[in-house]
Amino acid sequence: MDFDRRDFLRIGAAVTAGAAIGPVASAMTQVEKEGSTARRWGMVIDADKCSADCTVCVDACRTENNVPRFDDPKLDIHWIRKIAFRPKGIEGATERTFPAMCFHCEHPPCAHVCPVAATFVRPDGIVQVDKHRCIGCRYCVIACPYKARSFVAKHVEPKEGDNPKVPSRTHGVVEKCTLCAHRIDQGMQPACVEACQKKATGAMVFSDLNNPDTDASALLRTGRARQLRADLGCEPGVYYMGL
Amino acid sequence: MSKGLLAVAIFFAVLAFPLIFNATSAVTGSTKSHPALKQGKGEKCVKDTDWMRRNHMNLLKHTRDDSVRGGIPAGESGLAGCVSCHPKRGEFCDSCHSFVGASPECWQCHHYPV
Repeated sequence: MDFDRRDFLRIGAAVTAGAAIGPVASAMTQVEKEGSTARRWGMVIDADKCSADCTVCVDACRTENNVPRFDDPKLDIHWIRKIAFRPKGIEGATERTFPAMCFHCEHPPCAHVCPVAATFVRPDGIVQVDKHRCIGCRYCVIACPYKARSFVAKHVEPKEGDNPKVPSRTHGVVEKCTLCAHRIDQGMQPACVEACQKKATGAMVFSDLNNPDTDASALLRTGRARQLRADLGCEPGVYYMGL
Repeated sequence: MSKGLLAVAIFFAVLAFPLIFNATSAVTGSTKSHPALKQGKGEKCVKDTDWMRRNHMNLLKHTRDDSVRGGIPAGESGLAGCVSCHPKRGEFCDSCHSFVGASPECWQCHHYPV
């Protein structure tokens, strides 16, 4: 039998590839069992219903996720913020507001640029930061076109009265809205949406966008909802009405 | 020549001293004993004690990656699982970590009552 160097390399490569792919493939099926790829979590926000002086969603987020206040605009961390705008070209238009958080894009530029794969997309569409891996290079802060990310410039000690389900943060990582993944995994809604519906006007609606029977899908079918800066091609999971 | 041999013999005697000393002395190993840990709640741990003493950090890291990146809840094998049976960090994690001089960074962000 003529077994030359080329055959040896070919067989060696095949064996190595098999050994490498086997465990990965079995891990993938396990992941798919838990966080289903069939779901796409998203939100529809009606800016017509959002009142300018209401900060219920922002406050709920701060309480739920232990987001600290530094009272210094250079250091402050924002997971969700209210954006004020005045419609152009309309006589006598008053200033209006809407909440904006991480839009959990289908093609997130933040995850694309991350050099250590700390930012990743969960199978159900939630973009997450693995703070264990983050090295604080801030590429993602620059890459995000929606200014959803904040750099933690100051260590924040976990303290009494914090929500124990959400970890605190340490100096030198980047963080952002997690879409309250810890609540979604338990079948609850994100804290901002729950607060808006219980304490405010219910401008925010959260559900699975792939399921045609959900409230958010019904709002999307009205044709009034649109993504912000859809031209960028990031495919945000958060839609706005009345903008 | 005999002077050289004597020097070599002394050198090896000094080199082997720790081995000979340990083999002949009554006390073996460290004279300090492990810190005694308080018995946790519940019947038994997720793995047996000897395994946990050596490998708990690998287990925690494994469940951490699965739960953070895969969305698979860590359950009783995660950090929250430790808290449910060993409610005080000072009587559990810290007692051994300060004994061996290890300072893991878990508590910079995670909640574990002291």
